[in-house]
Amino acid sequence: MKEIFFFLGKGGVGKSTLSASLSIFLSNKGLKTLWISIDPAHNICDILKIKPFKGLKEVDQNLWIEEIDIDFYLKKYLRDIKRKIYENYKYLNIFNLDKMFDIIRLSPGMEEFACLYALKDILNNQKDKDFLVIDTPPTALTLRILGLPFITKRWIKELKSWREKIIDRRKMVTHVKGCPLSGVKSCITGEDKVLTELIHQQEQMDSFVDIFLNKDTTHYILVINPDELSILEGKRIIESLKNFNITIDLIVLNKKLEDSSLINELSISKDKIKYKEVSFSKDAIDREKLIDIASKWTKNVFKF
Amino acid sequence: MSANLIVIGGLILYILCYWLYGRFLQNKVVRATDSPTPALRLRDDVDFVPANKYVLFGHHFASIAGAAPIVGPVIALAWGWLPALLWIWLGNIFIGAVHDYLSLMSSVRYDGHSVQWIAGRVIKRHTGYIFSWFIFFVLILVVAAFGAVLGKIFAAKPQVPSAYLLKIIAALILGVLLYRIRMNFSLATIIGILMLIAAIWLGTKIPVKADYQVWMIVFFIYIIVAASIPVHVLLQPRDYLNAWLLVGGLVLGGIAIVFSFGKMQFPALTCFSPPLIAGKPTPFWPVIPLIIACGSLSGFHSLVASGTTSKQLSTEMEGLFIGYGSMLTEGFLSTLVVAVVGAYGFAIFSPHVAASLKGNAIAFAMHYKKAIGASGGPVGVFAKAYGLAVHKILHLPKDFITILAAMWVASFAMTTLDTTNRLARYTLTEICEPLKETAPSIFSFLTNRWIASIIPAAIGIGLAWSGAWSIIWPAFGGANQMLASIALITVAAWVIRVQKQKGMFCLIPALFLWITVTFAMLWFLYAAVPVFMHKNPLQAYAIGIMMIIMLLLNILLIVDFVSSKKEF
Amino acid sequence: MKKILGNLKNAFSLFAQGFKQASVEHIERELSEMENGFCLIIMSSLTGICAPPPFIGLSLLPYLEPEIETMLKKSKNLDDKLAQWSDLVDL
Repeated sequence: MKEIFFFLGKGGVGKSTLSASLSIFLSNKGLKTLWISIDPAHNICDILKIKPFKGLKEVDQNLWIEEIDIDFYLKKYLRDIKRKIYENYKYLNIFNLDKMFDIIRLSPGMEEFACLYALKDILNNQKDKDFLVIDTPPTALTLRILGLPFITKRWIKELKSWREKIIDRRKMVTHVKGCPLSGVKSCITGEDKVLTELIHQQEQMDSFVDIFLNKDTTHYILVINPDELSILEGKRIIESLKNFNITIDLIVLNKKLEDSSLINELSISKDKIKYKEVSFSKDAIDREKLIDIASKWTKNVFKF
Repeated sequence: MSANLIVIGGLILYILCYWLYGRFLQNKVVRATDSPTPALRLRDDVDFVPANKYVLFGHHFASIAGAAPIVGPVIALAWGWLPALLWIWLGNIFIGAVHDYLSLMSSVRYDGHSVQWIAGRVIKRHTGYIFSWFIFFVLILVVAAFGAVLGKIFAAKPQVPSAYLLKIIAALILGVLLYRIRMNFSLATIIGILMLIAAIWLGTKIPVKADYQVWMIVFFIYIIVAASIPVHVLLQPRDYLNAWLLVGGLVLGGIAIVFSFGKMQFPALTCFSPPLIAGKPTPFWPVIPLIIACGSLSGFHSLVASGTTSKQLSTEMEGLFIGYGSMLTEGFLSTLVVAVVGAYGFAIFSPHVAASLKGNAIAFAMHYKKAIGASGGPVGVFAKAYGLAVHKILHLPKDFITILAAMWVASFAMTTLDTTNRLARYTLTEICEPLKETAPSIFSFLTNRWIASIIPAAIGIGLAWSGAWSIIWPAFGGANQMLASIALITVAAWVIRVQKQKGMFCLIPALFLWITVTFAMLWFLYAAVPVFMHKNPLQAYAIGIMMIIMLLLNILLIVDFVSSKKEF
Repeated sequence: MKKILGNLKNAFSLFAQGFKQASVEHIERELSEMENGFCLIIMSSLTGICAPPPFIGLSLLPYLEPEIETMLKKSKNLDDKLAQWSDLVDL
């Protein structure tokens, strides 16, 4: 995968439309493009005027789309866990994971995790595609998704240090007492699976951090409308992402009505973020129109 | 009367009573059977694991042996060696060992729950809570008592603190060798023991002089710091070295006194009320349990028995050996102490002091307390007598052995200082439990990690600051015996109400103890505290308040015991 | 003669066992409390309490059987903690 594009912004500002424009524009140039939507609203099929479907599908030359089903990825992940539990637990069978699924799904943190899980899946399996265009869900979830690797890294660091102390002490005890019985818990007989798993998770999160922060490959496009609410939300997004050292590459003012200068309101000049405008159009949005829109707003901003 | 006759006599008495009285308790009162113990039924190989009876005995004995069975008897010699021995023998056989054994067995029958937990079940719910108060006071007062006694010997004989400091360094090194580098266990052990011997030898060469109050400050800082560092750094290796120190000290002392044919030089009987506590005439009854606690009867042992030992007992039949037997063994240790000090005592005092003691028994009684004070406190007296005895019989260098003996006591006392703090932190939280709902801000303040650690340490060291070991030691003894009386009443309730056996054999000692301790504490408040008030009002108030709270709770305990009879 | 030697050997191994136990008992206690705490934090993450994100807890779950046992055992005895530590005090 050469480059990734995130489209951020308040609901309804036109993320789906603009991400559609980019996807079609790129595929039209002969570049293999995968366009995904994590947004539960799933507007892709509506925009392209095709029937909704599950999974990945090639809808045009060089253009693939997928509407991510979060529940599907969650179930997949939990099945994996269940298998590992049955493999590892000797006689303690406490959790009935099937019943647990409904509760886990709503647990804070699981939705964004499922999205990352899906993203990882796509990055691993769709290496032959050149561009990945992502239509994101409502802001709160998007910020949580983007922030999850950073927050998790901190937790894993603490847990790892704690676990290493536990292993250290187990080694002290085993060194003196040996491992006489098979049931003895403090006994060290090889790698600590918990630590291994923690390191594995750390590597996963590290790879996401690398991807999210790589300015050459990952681009963030903030979409706003000429109304106060979407501008305020846009500001919130910029501020929140600063916490993770993520910077917006381009702000697009969509559905622009008259010639009003909103640059000042956004204080964009301070941040030196590039700025483009897309006018409101009453006409129907078709393929040609989308390519035209994209060619205008990507001009002098991105090179393909 | 020669010393080793006393020792042999004591040994025979203990063995006889173990077989006769102990077996009687096992068969008629506890009714020990073959039914599986919690160690087998609830086995998890962490807490509940059946242990070999000798290993468990060693562990249990090492847990109940400390500095107290040595310090107490030295002080009690003020009444003469005969009354002291009688309490060590009879008190142990009929009250102390019974208390230990029944605490252990009741815990075994309750799935390894502690006697505190059982109290909540067989008497009243809040009896477990009263337990916590007694425990808390014991923990504070033991810091005060051990701190005072240690301060005295550290100030009087500066070779002791330097030997101990070197031992700490040895422990730190051993910790690195055994737990970090993971050297071979036997090799590391040998190096550890060699370092220990070197520490004692070097200590005699480079004394560390400091005032009593400087030591108080050092102890305070030590308590707070030691309770905060990871255990494998200092605590664990230090306690491991202590185990070897105990073995060495017991073996050397045992051999020395058994093969010594010296006569008892101290008087057998002095008078009923020699001036002992606060310089006031101290009546043998009811005060003796406050002076000799461990060695004859110690309430804290009930917790130790029901802590880990009950969870590791393989069969009920082994309970007698471990519970009853180890308490008798501790009694034997105290017997050794009485014999050693009684036989070699006069030689340790400076000629001027010794002269005031010789003559007749009354002269001895009048001046004994001062004599102890002039010789580095009770620890100093023991160490010197021990040094003389081992030197005479085994021809080992006197100075080295004296410091070894002092180090032995000091090591156990210092361990108690910081481990008590860890426990006190937790006990404070238990006591403050009712405040959680009613005064949450006070609760969170008091149970804050640092505050909860500093409060008991500050009160303990604050009390020891006064240097009045003859007042603080019996205060500690009193709290410990309060604990024993609540434990005995609990097991009596268990025997009568649950076992449905005749509870006479624990009820009579329990009531005897309750009456004795109550009168002893009243005497203490009446006679000793006012004297203390004169010189150290702050500490006197602190002790006085603790005593009064304990007395009131003690009365509540009996009321609860009687009133809860109907529920069964 | 053989029997005496055998008994001596037995006694020696018991001694060794006792001393080995004495040299690690504090560490073992600290270790079990640390395992308990580790498990508590992971488990509470599965209920969404301020803790590591739940998926960490889930992914570690297959390997935490011993710690879960320890945690459950300790929570059963929360009302009887005091006496467990009493043998440290050497009183």
